[in-house]
Amino acid sequence: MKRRTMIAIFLLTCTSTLLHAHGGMVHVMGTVTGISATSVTVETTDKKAVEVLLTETTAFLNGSKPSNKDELKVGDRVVIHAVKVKDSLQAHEIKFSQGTSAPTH
Amino acid sequence: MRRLIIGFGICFIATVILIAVYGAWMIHHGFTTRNAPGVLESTLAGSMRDFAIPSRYKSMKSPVTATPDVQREGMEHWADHCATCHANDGSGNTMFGNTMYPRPPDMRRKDTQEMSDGELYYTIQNGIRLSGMPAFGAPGDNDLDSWKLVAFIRHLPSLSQTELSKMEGMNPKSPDEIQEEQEEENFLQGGQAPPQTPHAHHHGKDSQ
Repeated sequence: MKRRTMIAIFLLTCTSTLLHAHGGMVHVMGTVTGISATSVTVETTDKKAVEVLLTETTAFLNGSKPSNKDELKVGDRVVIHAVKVKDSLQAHEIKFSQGTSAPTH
Repeated sequence: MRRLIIGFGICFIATVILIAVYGAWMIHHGFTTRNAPGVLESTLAGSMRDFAIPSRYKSMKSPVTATPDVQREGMEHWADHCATCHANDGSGNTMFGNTMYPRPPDMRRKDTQEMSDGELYYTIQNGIRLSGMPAFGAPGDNDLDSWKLVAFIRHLPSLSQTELSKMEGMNPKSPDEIQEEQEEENFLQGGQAPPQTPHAHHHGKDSQ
């Protein structure tokens, strides 16, 4: 405890910041089943419902073309790259394609 | 004189208490990098970094003219070396950038864009202690690759979507990432999905 306290005080007196750490990007792949103002719900290819939150910086790609949330429709196939924040997923990029339906297995 | 000493003593004790409380709070919450640094910490760290840049760099102008060729070379360099943390568009919104402490700044914004050419160059060349920013390039003032990066940093606020798409092809990728991209593309085109989703993507980066 004493050692940890000394480390904390040392760091504070140096007005420092700590070194970086790795994080994880979660990939969600499936079909869009719901779209709201703040999130997209996806039925993944293994039939689980996953809700991914939208942020101001979420990028939308229709195929390889830049797009927006309005073009995303229920039934579209999506691949979402998301950051896990506590118990939720925040979408970094949503790539989708229209006119193709997910296989039903 | 006595009042001065008492005043100084009160300030000193208050500072010590403040540091102790903040230290206890940090210990209680752990040294996680998931939280963004607070305003006080960011301001102090930023000020220290500014003080640490030698004054001659503050007025230094780039010896490189920002021609399209120079910006292209800077872009290639950025996509290959910098985008992992800073993102292709300079936003810092990447897997690594989002969990670094401190976060990489949004380099399109005025805090970065108002830095002089020399300050940007010095930061690239010498890195920033106690952050994720390493020192790149050889010591000295004549590393042309770093000066070209400075030219590209100036171009970040007006980066086009076409340039961003081009940069994605320049980002380094592992064989696993290449395979994963192919699987995702195949799925989007109507093909069968790989067996397990969602899954954590631990090794690559996702920069745009």
